[in-house]
Amino acid sequence: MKVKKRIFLGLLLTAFLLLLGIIIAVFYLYLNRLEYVYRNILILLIALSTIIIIITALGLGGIVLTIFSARTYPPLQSLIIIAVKILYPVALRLGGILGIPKDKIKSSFIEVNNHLVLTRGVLVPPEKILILVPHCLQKDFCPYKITTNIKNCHRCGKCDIDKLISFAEKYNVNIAVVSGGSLARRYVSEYRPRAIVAIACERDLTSGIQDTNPIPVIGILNERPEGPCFNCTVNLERVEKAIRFFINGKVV
Amino acid sequence: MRAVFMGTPEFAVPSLKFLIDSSHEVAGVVTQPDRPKGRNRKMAASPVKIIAQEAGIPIYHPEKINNIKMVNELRKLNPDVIIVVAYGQILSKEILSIPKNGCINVHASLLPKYRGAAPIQWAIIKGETETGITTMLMDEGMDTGDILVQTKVEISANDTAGTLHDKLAEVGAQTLKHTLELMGLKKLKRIPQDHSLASYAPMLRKEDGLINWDENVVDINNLIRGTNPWPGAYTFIRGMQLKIHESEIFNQTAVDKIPGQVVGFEKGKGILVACKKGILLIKRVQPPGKQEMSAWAYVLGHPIEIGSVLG
Repeated sequence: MKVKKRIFLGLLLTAFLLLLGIIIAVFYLYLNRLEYVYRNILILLIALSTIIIIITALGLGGIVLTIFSARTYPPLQSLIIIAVKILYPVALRLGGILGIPKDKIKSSFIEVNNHLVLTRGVLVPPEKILILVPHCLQKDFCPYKITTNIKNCHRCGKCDIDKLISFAEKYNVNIAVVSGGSLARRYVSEYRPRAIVAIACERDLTSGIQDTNPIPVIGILNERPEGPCFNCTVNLERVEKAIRFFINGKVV
Repeated sequence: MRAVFMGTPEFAVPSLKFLIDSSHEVAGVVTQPDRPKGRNRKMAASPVKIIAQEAGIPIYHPEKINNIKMVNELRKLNPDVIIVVAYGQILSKEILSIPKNGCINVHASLLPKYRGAAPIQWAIIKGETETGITTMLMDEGMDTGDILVQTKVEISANDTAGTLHDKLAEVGAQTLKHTLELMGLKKLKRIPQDHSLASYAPMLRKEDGLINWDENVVDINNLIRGTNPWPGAYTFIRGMQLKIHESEIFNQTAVDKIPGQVVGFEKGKGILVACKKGILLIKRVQPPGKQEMSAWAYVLGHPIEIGSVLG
């Protein structure tokens, strides 16, 4: 299934216009008041709002520019992060109002994030790359639980864990199994990676990508043939591509 | 003596109550600002603040204790002693130098063991059979000041962090009382800590409660006790998280089973799970989004096969 980037971009733009509309309305309201105190407050508000608008607009412009020109603009990187932080929650709520499923918006956001990371072309030594694997990839019937120790895996090949460990060995990158967001954050602070390949559901990936900023994260959605958090799978080809991208600094 | 009390959680309440009921004058109470609490995130006052309000004592709740304004306020209060019980902020040199008798801290461990934010929990997790209360004269380090008075408290096999907390809170108040009596009589002895014996008890995080069944049954049981009521020990069953509130060591004989494997049930009691060295009886659990329940009730509602593996 191809995820469309325009859902997230469209919502970001609409959220931005909404914000702009509110600020203009406040501006108009205060303009009709002639008291000096209000006027000074107004000037301050306008100045602050203008700065926020410029930062957000530049950040939003940076996202669009990066995606469509397929090249990165380093001065805009931090503005892009700020713009996403400001507009993402608004975009999510707006999507809810418009009846777009949250997971669809989140997967669109993940796709945009991946595109931005791929455009940046990050070259990272293998030992500084971390693969974060959710424990739900392990088959429920497997007696050798890996939640606390991936070395418990007997490499039978019945689930994707065996292949993921093979990738870690082949490319000499770190791998960790996590049972949720808090454990993932703990591993990130322990390993101090410079790049992350994260496998998870929409919810965990979107929060994880934002929490680990500015570490580049390529997010890969897990597949849930038997429902959430249970006997999940992952597109192994995409995982390997992501690892190779970080090692080579470009899409191979 | 004229005292200023600094404290925030339930642990500090018995100490404050003692101080209010004593002959000492409580010039002011410093506590953390109101915080959102519970599911509706309503702003709630700290337990210490509630007690201070009832007693009509002036209350201060600065976001940062060490800002100039608060330091000046404390100077104005002119205390002979400042008593700190689980306040939650580090005091600056300026504040430490305000009272002529110094700042006394009531710490829930036998220092220098378990310095830090979670001494009660870590004492249980580490399998201690004894802990206690230390009053010390605060310095700029984290729980590194000279020891004044220590009271030992036994940790029973059934103690959880919650029950031990309640015990220590009361003993803390008694130890504070004894410390102030000795101070009044000029009989307080300062014993410097042997820093080479120091150990640390950092703030617990949610993920610290994750059970590794590949550990010794005693250690797992201690983790469950030490993380009750917060953050709670947990494992996974059929991909779902299962909190474990209470357990018991069933036996300590090595079993030829996979760690985490359900090896049987104790009727009316709970689930028997194999660990690295021994079997653990899980007695009380909490499935996601549900209330805490007995493990046996859980088994009746969610049949578990013998041989299935937790984790």
